[in-house]
Amino acid sequence: MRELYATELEELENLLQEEGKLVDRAIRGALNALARDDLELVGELIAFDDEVDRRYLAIEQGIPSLLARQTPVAGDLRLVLAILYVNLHLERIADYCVTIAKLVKLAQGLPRDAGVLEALEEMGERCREMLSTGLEDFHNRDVRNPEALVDMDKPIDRANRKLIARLIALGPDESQREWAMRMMLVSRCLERIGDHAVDIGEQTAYLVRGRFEEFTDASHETSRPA
Amino acid sequence: MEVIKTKIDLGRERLPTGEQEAVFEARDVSVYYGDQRAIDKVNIDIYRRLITAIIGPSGCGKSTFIRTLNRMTDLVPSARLTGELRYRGIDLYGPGVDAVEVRRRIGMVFQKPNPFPKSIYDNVAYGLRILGMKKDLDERVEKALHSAALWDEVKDRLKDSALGLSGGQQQRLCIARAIAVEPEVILLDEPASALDPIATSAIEDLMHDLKRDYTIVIVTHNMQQAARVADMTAFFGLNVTPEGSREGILVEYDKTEKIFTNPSDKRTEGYVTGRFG
Amino acid sequence: MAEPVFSLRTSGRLRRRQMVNRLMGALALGAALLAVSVLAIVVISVASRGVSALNLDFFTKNAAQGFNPTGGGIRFAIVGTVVIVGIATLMALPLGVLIAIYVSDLASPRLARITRLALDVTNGIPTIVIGIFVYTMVVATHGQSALAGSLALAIIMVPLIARATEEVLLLVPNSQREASLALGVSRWRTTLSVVVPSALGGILTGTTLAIARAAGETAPLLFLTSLGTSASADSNPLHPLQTMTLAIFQYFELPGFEAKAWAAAFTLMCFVLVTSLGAKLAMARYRKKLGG
Repeated sequence: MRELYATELEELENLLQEEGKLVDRAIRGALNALARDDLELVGELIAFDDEVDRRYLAIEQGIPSLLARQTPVAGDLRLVLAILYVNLHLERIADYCVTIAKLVKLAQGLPRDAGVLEALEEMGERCREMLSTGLEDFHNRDVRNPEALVDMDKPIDRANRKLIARLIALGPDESQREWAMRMMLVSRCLERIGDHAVDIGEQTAYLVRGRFEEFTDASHETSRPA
Repeated sequence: MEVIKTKIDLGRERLPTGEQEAVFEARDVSVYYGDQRAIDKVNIDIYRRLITAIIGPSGCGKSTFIRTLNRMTDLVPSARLTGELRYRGIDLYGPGVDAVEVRRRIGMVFQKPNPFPKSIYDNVAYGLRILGMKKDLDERVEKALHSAALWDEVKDRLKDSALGLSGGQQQRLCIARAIAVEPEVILLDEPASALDPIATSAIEDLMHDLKRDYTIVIVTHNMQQAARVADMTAFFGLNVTPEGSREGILVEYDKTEKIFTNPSDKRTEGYVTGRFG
Repeated sequence: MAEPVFSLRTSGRLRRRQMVNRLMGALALGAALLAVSVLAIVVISVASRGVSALNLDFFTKNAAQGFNPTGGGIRFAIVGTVVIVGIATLMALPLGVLIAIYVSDLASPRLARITRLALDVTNGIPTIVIGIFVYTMVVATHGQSALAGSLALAIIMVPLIARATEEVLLLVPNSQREASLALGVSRWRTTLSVVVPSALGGILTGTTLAIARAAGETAPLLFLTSLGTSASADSNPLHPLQTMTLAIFQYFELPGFEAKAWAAAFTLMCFVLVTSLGAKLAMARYRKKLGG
């Protein structure tokens, strides 16, 4: 029943997964550009963002149309809303990749620290893992372990904090300080990517359980009675 | 923070809580037409001054059920009810309960507008006259027409035939006629299914206004209408018995928001999304 | 231009079907014309023989009396018919309407079916049988009277009125009954204040048809009022009164008075035709109003 509607919903979700794969490639590209200090790749990455944006816009426009024509309710309504939000998260992750690419460009020719780069690479790989887990769970409507993403995000946050100490310790040289500041921002971008991946998990939980709950909520953690 | 929270919750303050008064309490209510069971063991509480929508596929017994609430089912000679249906604590089908008195307290508006072939005024005054509420007849008629959001449209032609009104106006006249006799509950059996979208909106706005003073139960096959107007929604489904006969059952009953965002039962989900089931 | 692959022109088989079709149509038309022409012949022959005797005196003078009567009119017959049919209507109308209300609104389907059957059987009883029945019950003990005639006519009219009324009561949409019942109005009040007013036009036309039919009845009146005895020269229903049909009968028996018989027949026929047609037209219009 309602074949066309079902097809349209399915197409939206396929588009989202496609976008997710592109975003994963963007993260990988950003990490490669960073590791190899590759300016050519930076240019490609910035251009590649248009590919992601095309999917993003297609979903962004498809959803109001579907809402207006098919008035989805119940599980369908939750799916549409979840796609809307996950789409937004993916687009933001892609934006962070562009930011990283630009930072690589700005850090060109500055003295590099292998330990820091390794740590960033490690963070990035974690992010990719989180993203693919998040998207896979979304696809499978899998909420067996909804907090897994939160657990995966914790090391990233820790690495981010540790990295700052290490960057400060790099040295007094001006160019070293500049590189350290650029890398701080890269670290920050990766940390945010991890947060967005956690949010994708929240959407999966909403889709399956029917009510929205934040996995981690800074404002509540402190005010919640013991 | 707390203030903001209360504000957000305001819209739902009238949704049933533990203390919400149930006007109707159905316990294992089954209705039979002859040997054929039309609805099987319905258990439901319908709350005071809320709009309760009954939705479900054709033949699920939703019209039958709403007609049991004011004993209109009595008019079908072969109809029989088992179980218990209490209205404000009184067994509606108990001994000594007069169906005519029941219907005076529990009014009903039907699918097709059915004004009498009389003047607009006489349509509203009809029940008042017969039931002996003749004091301040003019005021009562005016008040009912006001309540039905029809006064401004008809005040200059009260003596004209009601049959000259548009379908939407006729339906609001029927609502005015029903509320003129001051019932406690208004039952609406697909009240907008014969109306165009504008007239439908007018009826829906009107229901929202009437909610202040009346308990409203509406049967509708327009799910979006239920989603728009109702506080509580009951989904009636079709059950095919092992013998192959079809009977209606209450599948799920919950806040409308719950039914349309996160129904508990797969059959409800299938029906409201229209995609399976 | 390409040759068409099939033809839309008539082929042999279709042509034969068309011919059968036309033949049957012509036969049916012929039968209908025959029925209409019988009516036309009756009306024309009655009119051509009766019109000559029509004048004002014919309607205002009393019947010719005495051994060798001349002149005379049908005043008594008209008065008698009005009285007898009027009283019959007064008896049959309320009874017929009440029966109709019972059948359409109150009785269980089974009882309604039985009642309907009884009405149809009554309607089918030869009117002479009803005449004999009333004769035995009333005339044998109390003698001839207009009232006895009225009673017989009322028995004939009740099923007609009841069935016609029931038909229009059933035309009143059920939604109207429901609307009233849902206001907490009892069944009986609903029928009285919603159903009957809606059906009033139909009830009146049904009654008119019954009146037209009763006015034309002869057989049940033959030995109930005035035949064989001299009719009273008044309008007291307790006396035997003359009626139109009996006047026709008597004038026809009387040598030299055939023209008056034809004139009376023409008068009666006109009355019956006009009232029936009028009632049927009104009924058709009424049904359209209720149905639409």
